[in-house]
Amino acid sequence: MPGGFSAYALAVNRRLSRQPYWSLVAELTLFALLLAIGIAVLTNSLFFDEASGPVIIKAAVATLVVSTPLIALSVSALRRQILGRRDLRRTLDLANDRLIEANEARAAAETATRDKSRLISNVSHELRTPLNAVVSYTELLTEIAQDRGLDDMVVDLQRVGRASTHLTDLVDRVFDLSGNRTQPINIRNDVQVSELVREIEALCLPLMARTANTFEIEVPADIGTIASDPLKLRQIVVNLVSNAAKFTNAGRIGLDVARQKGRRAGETDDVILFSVRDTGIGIAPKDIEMIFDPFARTEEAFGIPGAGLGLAISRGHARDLGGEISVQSTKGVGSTFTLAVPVTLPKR
Amino acid sequence: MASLLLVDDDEDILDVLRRLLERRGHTLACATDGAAAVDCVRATDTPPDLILMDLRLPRMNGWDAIKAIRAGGATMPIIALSGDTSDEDRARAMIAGADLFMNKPTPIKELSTAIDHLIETRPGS
Repeated sequence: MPGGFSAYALAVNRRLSRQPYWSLVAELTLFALLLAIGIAVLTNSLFFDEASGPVIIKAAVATLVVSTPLIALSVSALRRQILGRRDLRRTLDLANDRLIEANEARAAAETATRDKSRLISNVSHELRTPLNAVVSYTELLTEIAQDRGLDDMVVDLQRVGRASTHLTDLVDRVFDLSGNRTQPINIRNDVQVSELVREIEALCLPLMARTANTFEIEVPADIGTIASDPLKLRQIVVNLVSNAAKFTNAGRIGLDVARQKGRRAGETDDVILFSVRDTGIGIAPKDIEMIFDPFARTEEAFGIPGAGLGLAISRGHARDLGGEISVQSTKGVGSTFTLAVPVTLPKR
Repeated sequence: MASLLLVDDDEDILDVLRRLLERRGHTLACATDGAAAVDCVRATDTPPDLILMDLRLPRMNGWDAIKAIRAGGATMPIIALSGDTSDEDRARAMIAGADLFMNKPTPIKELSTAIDHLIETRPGS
């Protein structure tokens, strides 16, 4: 019997959280009474004989004896439930407090991000104004020096010019990265991938000539269309190609475009892959993840101009389009950067 | 050879752009805020052939100045020049009535080519 009680108590406990008090009390009492009456009738026929008194009294005594522990049990179960509910309320209160704290923290973080953006925007403006003057005065001085035939000075002034232009570019990119100039995504439904690649080729050919690299492009004729932002796509791929050219000297650079079938039927979750491979200096395994960080520069990149922001910005753009940039590289052999973008932008 | 109105609140930029453009044979008038630029265009019988307009200006900003100049019926080309502006700012400049938006600092060769091109292709010239 005790095993049966505890099994029942367990069942009661399991249902506690779902059951209102009154129905629990009623159920327990009814159960206790039924059980007690049953036992009383049983014990009556076993242990009492006809002469020891009226059946109703004996039954009442038996009922009382048997039902006492049952009532005690139900009271204890009820007590546990009340305590449980109090604990639950405490936990809820605690969770509520945590939630309020988390909300406050999030609001603070958002304010901090806005402040940071505003600060970067202001700093960029403050830096840019004197830089504009430096760039333009250098141009003026270069022209004057050329007029006066001061050729040795012209060379130095051109150095100042290059350095200040580079600095301006840097300020620009920091501004880009701070999200102040984030362009809204402008999705077009039927971007012809082959046409996009032709534009990319036209933009990149002068660079290839300058860096003495060959440029090979592979696009299947049936590559089809993509619903995406053509400007951002072009910007990402051109950035990857110009990176490849920057770190490859008199080598081969390739752009392979492919359509990867999606898992579902139909064409809605196909992915277009733009792989940019080069035969350049490559990336050491320890640097692979680091290169996407803002201002990241590997040891190998020492002496090659660049701010280390291109990949950070490109990866941001890729993610805006629901895609990702991945990289495979062997140091000294070359690198392949792959942009994967879905043919339709996933719903958010 | 054209008459240009240059609007910028930075003395150095005014000076250096004036000298760079004068070397290319242009005549320059300068204004340091938007309201002065609007007055410059309205008050004269010989308006400039082209306006170079910074966007962040005191008193009246560049967008409002462009709008006011266009509202006065002037049709000369306007180049909006600015540095750290969002695409939205650029679009607003074009909507206000600018013909071209150029980033500051623009290499003088590019700026000069743009000026020559806009003056040559100006309607009615």
